[in-house]
Amino acid sequence: MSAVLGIARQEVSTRRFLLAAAAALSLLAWALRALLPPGWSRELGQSLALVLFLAFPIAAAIAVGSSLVGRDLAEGRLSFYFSRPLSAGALWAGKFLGGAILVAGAFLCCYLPLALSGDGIGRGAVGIWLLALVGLMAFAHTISSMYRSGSRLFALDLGLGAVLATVIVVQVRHLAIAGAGHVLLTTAALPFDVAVAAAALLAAAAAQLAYGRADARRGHVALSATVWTLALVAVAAFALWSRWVLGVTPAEVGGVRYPLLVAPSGSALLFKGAPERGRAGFSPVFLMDGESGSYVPLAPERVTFPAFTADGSAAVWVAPAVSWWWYVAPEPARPFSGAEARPAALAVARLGHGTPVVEERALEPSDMELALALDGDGQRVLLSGRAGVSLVDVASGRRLAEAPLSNIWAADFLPGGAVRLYQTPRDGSEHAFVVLDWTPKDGKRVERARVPVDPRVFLLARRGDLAVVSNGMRGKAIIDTARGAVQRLDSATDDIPGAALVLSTGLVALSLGEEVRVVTRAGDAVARLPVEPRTSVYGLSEPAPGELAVGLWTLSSDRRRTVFLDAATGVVRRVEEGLLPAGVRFGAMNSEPEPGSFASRLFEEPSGDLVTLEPDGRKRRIAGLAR
Amino acid sequence: MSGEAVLSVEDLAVSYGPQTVLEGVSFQVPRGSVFALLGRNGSGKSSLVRCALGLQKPARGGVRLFGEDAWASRRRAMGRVGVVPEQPDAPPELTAGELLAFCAPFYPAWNDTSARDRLERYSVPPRVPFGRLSKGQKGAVMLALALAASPELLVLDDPTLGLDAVARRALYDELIGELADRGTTTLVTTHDLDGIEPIADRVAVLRGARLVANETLDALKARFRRIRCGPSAAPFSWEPFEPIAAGEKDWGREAVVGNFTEERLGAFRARTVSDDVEVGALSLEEIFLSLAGTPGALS
Repeated sequence: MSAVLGIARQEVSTRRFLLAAAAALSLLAWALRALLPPGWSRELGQSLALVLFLAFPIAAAIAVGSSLVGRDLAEGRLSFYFSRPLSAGALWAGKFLGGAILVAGAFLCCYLPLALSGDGIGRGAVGIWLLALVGLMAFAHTISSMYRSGSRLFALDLGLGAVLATVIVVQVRHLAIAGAGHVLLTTAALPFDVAVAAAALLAAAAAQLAYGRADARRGHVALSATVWTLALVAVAAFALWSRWVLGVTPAEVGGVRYPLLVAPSGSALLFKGAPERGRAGFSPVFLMDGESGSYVPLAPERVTFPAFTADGSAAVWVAPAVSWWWYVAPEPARPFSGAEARPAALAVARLGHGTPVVEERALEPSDMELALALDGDGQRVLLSGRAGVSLVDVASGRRLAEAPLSNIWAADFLPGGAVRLYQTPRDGSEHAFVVLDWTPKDGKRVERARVPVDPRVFLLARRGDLAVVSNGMRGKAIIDTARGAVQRLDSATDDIPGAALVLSTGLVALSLGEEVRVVTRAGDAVARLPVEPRTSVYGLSEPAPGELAVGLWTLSSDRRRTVFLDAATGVVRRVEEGLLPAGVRFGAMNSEPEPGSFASRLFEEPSGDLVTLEPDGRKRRIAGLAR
Repeated sequence: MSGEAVLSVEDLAVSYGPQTVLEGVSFQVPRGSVFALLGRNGSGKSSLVRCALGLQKPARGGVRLFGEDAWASRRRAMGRVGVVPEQPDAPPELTAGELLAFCAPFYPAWNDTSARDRLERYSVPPRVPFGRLSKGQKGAVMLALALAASPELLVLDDPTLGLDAVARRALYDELIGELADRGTTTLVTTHDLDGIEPIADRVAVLRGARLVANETLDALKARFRRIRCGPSAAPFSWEPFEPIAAGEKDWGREAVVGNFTEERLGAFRARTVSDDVEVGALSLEEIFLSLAGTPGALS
């Protein structure tokens, strides 16, 4: 032990100027920041502190690592140590302990000004920094030793290094494309990776000294053999780990999180799992067939709300462009926009035949953000962007028509080729909710209804000629586009945005604070369901024709239940405790599902698990989600 | 000097890629002897020393140091060995004082006082970093470090390389003093044959990767002689001597022979029928030149 400490002390003593320089610069940076009045000198101090923190420890780690053993080897001085009764292990431990002390000391000196001025990075981050710097020191030692040995083996090292880097890049790219690139930076994998890399490089240095002693070339052989063997093992482990991360199943994601979108027909659903319950913090978006449980994972950053065909046989969504920066700083922090790692595309999914099949196609209009509607045969999709809407051919991704219409809530294809748009235009001082029909063929636009509204407006439901919007804190409005009529209904208590449903019978169910009311399109009440105080109407669905399911959530007691009633009479048929209707609660992104369809019978348990209620009242857990 | 071998080299072979530096080299360094290992530049002396110190693993054969394999038991053996390398290899940033302090804990029989006395005698400034010392001062520091460990075996790898005459003399004086006081076994490789001749007991010579001589200096000097004889009208032959080099001069003939004995001299005189035969001793340098140099006519 004394030999180790003696060598470490010698290393520190030899390079003590490094610590002195770090301390002096650190003191200068701190003095400029803390003692001088605001102005250029203080800013200089801040810049110096930042540059010092970022650059100095890295430079120190490289300088120390490359000279720790490599210089002795190159100048033939390693024999001095091996001519003493010192073991190779003691020499290795002493050298690298001394190096680590120097690097850590330089880092802490440089970090001090930031920590003193309250800009610290936290203990965990400091630990990772220190680990990374020791790893960098060992890496510099490895490269330096390989180069300084003067052996032709160095060319082989360079070749193997290039192969290794390529394999790692391919692996990382594989993770990134699957949407799991961030797990390398945001999970426990990062410190683990850094620790493993540092340990491997230090082990290689130990092998170099033990096997090669003062013989630079023999040491190089040992170093290279150890480095590349461990690198091979590490890359294989990384590949297996990547495979494991990407193999996360819907059953592991710990409950469904919004957005949860369900096809209006068929049994396809799309949802995002809970990141904290996925694998290594990765939880993809799953596009799943609820009946068979077969699914396909999708990169979350490449999925936006999809538009389904009415029969649920296809879905289309905009896969947004992803910049390289995204992989470094994923949402919500996106400090820089940069070159695109993946351009925007049109994602097309074929559903209803077991495992969904998804393919991406080039998208001509690159500024599109959201798919609003997909026509009945899945040939044309209406997309919206900041500048307007575009009708796009699904097969080619080419734009067929466009219109400068913004702030579109939802859209439906109408028979005859026209498209109905639900919009809150911002073309004047008056806020309005507009329903208009646009014919892409000739560009003709016909306004079916215009309703002056509060700025706090939400489209809650739509079916056929009827649409329901939430208007301000207490108001609701039923818009009848066939007649151009608007029925306004107000609640006695706040109810924003509330819930609404246009039933297949043409009746409208909507929350009005203290009650859920079923009304005709003229606004006449046909049924009422009182709602307890401090209870919100979570969602409405029509699990069977004429049957209304009202999801109620009393937040104070976390009581969730769904009340099933006859929509025409208001007679309560049964209450299912612990269940709430699943799906998008407001925004009416998708068309109302048909009564009795998979989507209309889909409910969510408090755990996030999804179940369907069968016509006989039996609960059936969604295959693939059961844990 | 006892017969026990402190260092035993057995069928040693060292090669660097296709180049063979040592091949089938075997010898022993008896305890208490001063063993001079001679050879031209590149003859493999330093490789042999590195193998002997366990710094380099031979391609074949091995070296036993104090009866143990030098490669496998290097650490244990180095506690009993003092080394002065060909190129002073101490860390250049450390001063002589710091070097003594660094090395002291590793050796059980460390004699710090004698080391500091030596440094003072050599006028080595104690606070100047090793890298800034003169060549002679560096050599002196390395010798002080080697002797301070009170070694049983002292290995000197061309210790006088680059030293001036005064420094060289000082080194040998120090060495003679050490040998007289402690009888330390010494393995020395050197090109300074005049310097080593007075103290060497045994000499080995490397040539062409092989050992071409390994015997006591006295034996070597006894069998290597210069023979001169006057002109002779009769047909001339050096038999029964085997001349390593021979030539004709104005005054007659001269040869260096490596198999001199009094019996052969008698036979030679009888054959040449001449009283004008003169036998002279050779210096170690002349013997070395005969063994390691290019054979041929004497100039």
